[in-house]
Amino acid sequence: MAERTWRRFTARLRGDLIGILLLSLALLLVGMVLAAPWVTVENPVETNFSRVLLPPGPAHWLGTDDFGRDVLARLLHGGRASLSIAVIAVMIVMAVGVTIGLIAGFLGGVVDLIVTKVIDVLLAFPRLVLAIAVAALMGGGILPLIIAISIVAWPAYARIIRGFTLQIRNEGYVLAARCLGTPTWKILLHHIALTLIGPILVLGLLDLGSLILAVSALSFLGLGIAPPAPEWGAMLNEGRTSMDEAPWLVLAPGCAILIVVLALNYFGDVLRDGAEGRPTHGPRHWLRWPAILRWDRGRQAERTARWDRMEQRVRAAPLLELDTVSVRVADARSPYDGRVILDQVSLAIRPGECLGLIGESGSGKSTMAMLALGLMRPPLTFGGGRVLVCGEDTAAWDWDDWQALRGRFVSLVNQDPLSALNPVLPIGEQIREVMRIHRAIPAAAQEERLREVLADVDLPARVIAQYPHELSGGMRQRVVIAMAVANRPALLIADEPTTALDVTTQARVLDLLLRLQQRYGLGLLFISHDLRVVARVADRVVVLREGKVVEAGETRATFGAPQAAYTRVLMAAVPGRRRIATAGGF
Amino acid sequence: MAYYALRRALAAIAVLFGTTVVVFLLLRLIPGDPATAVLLTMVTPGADTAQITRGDIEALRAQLGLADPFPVQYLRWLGEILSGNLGTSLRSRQPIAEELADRLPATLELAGAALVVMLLIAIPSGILGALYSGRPADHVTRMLSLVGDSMPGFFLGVLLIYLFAIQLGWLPAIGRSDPAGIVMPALTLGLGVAATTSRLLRASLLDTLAQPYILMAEAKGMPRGVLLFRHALRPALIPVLTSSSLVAGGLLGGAAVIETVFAWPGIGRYMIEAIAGRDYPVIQGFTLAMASLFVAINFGVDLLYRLLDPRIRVEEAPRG
Repeated sequence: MAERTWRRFTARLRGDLIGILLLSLALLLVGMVLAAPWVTVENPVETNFSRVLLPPGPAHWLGTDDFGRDVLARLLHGGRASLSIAVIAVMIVMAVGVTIGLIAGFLGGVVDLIVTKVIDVLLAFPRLVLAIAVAALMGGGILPLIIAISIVAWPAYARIIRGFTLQIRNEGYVLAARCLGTPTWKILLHHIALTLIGPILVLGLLDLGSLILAVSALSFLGLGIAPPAPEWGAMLNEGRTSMDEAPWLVLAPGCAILIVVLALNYFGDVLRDGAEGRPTHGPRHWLRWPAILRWDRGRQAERTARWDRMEQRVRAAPLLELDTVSVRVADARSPYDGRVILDQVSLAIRPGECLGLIGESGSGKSTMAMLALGLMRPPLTFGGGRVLVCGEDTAAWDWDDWQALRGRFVSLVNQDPLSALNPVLPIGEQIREVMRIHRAIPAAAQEERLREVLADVDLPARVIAQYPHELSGGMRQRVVIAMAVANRPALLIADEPTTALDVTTQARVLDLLLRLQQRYGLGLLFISHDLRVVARVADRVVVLREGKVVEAGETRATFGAPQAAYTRVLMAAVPGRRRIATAGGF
Repeated sequence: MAYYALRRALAAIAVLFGTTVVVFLLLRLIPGDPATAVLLTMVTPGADTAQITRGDIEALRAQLGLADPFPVQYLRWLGEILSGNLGTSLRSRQPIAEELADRLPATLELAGAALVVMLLIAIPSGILGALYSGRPADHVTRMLSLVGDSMPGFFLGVLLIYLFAIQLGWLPAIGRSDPAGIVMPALTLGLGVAATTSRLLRASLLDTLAQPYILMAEAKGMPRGVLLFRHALRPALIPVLTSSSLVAGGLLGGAAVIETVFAWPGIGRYMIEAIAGRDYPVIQGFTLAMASLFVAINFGVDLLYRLLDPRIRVEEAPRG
């Protein structure tokens, strides 16, 4: 664990100039602080009024203060106090927090109840307020400072450790040890504490920075070390009064705190990333500024003209036409780099027709759906061929060109209705916005259409005010279908629309899709791995395997006499396949 | 919801009782005998402390009720604070509750302004970090939020005073008499807590943008603004609310320090003055007031969280 973390850490730092600079600066500072008596011969507390408030120079690198004391000497000696107090506090906090957390988590019952209540109460104070109160009432000084910091910091540790312990307590090896009669303290020590040691150390390191800040804040308020002795927070407070003539008095200790804490936090951030991992794929490029700025009037006019052309052709031209389209993965970091997803695929969907697309998972079916919506994105890239939408070549289209068509000309119903709806928007809003965005219609007409479309998908009007989590999976899929047909699109992409539903719901949703196809004259691209479902709905089928079209034709003919060996294999895998062959074509 | 609110309210009240016990015990931290300590604060500085006689101490102990057993003392004190009496300041001889109430508006004003500063910084930088994750803009906001996290508030405050009050003369260095006086303390306090929120928002927004419903919204033809602000940001902001406990703690705790730096006449500075004057009842009263405020804020946020997220609005089970 430690070795892996270290390797990840060094790997991240390599080439990270800021990180290296910051860490070396902090290490240099801490090194000088540790070696203070050898670095400087100046006495940090002895006053010398013959050299008051000297600016930084060769003799005094960081100048002198209003008592004629060398600021560098005070900084380095003061650092010993600041840092050692924080380190001691971290160790106390870790020891106390871990012990109490372990015991509470492992024993459970009354002990756990009392400990969690105490933790709750201590966490009910703003951390710094309680620390100030404790230190103030104890009279200030090093020991009260350490106690104050420890009292406010341990509950957070104990809570985390308790959580970890609860988790580990029920792991197999711990249960096994308990069954073997291993004494409790041995289990705690050997099985739990050793597992937790890595996370605890990381936690401690992460917290060291905030403890240094707390120590210096309390010292700044005069609750730390007694005056002549130096300490960073206290030095800053003393320097405030003569700041206008001697800003170095404030800058030196302030920057020292900042550098050390910043390095610790930076280090912690890197460790945390290593432990949790960061998503490598950023969000969509089209949300970024350059893409947003590309929007202009010329393109807008072009879009309107294109829409008019498409409206004229919509009854005649194929709605979607793929002409020897290839798609591959292009991302040097991806293990699938160079892999071909679609290999010279050609197909066409005519108005009002249902094309079934069959293939096992990984055959490129969903990529096809994304292609039809202009939603294909990195790491997938075009390898050649043309995608035509209603006779228009899409090669030069950008995000906004597609946006004007999505939800209006072409819609999507996808696999998982549970996650396809926004959890914090009411159903009615999610259907309304499709209409609102794409066409300016009066509110009354919009409401009327909303009710109509809900009736189309057999949903009661009450769902308008409901949230997605209040509906069943089948109902949510109906909502998705309602959103898809609200604008009467010409083409509907149904990507495994029934896979996530149970069998009876599946049948009803299929019937609904067919009914709507008839009613709206929809072109339907029906994507599924399920032969029976496809046989029931499709006029024509395309069988896809590893990105290649292996067979295409009328549904009845294809399933009646499959030409490709792969289709026969697929059909053999379906129980009761005879019935399909006869029912094929529907 | 009402049931949930009631249950949370009862839990909050229970925690408040716990805090009174802690605050009561705090006074026992004073080294030596409290009565002696109190007497010492009453004599003029530099006076001969030998003039305090045993009799004086015993009389005061009886007067303060220190002779009674602990539980009796606690219950009597609890009765007092429940009737709104936080005791009397040793220095001014005024009721502490009144003195706190006089200074509370200044602190709330500062905390409110700091909250605005925080939102103005954290929300844009969180969005920027998420949209440009792994790119220069992300690294810059990340670095800035690290600096914000690592910067001691008092250092930032002092730097701002040096720059804008001493060198440029644009803003008053201290005090509340000039309306512009709130700018620097609010900036200092707000910057200090912005980093956490910004980082949380970035992570939450990245997570949301990867959700299938964002893809669905895009497939519905939603334009950029609708996608980002309506579909992504709204759900992404809800988990960020959980950080408000940290933010509130940072604002309330930071107020004591920042008010000292800028001589802002709020309850934080009142507390620090009380410390200098060894005004123990004031320290006690202040701590209790802050804890109550903090508990109340956390309670409110907890309810707000439920209200904003329709998914958990109907559930009755306590979370996490």
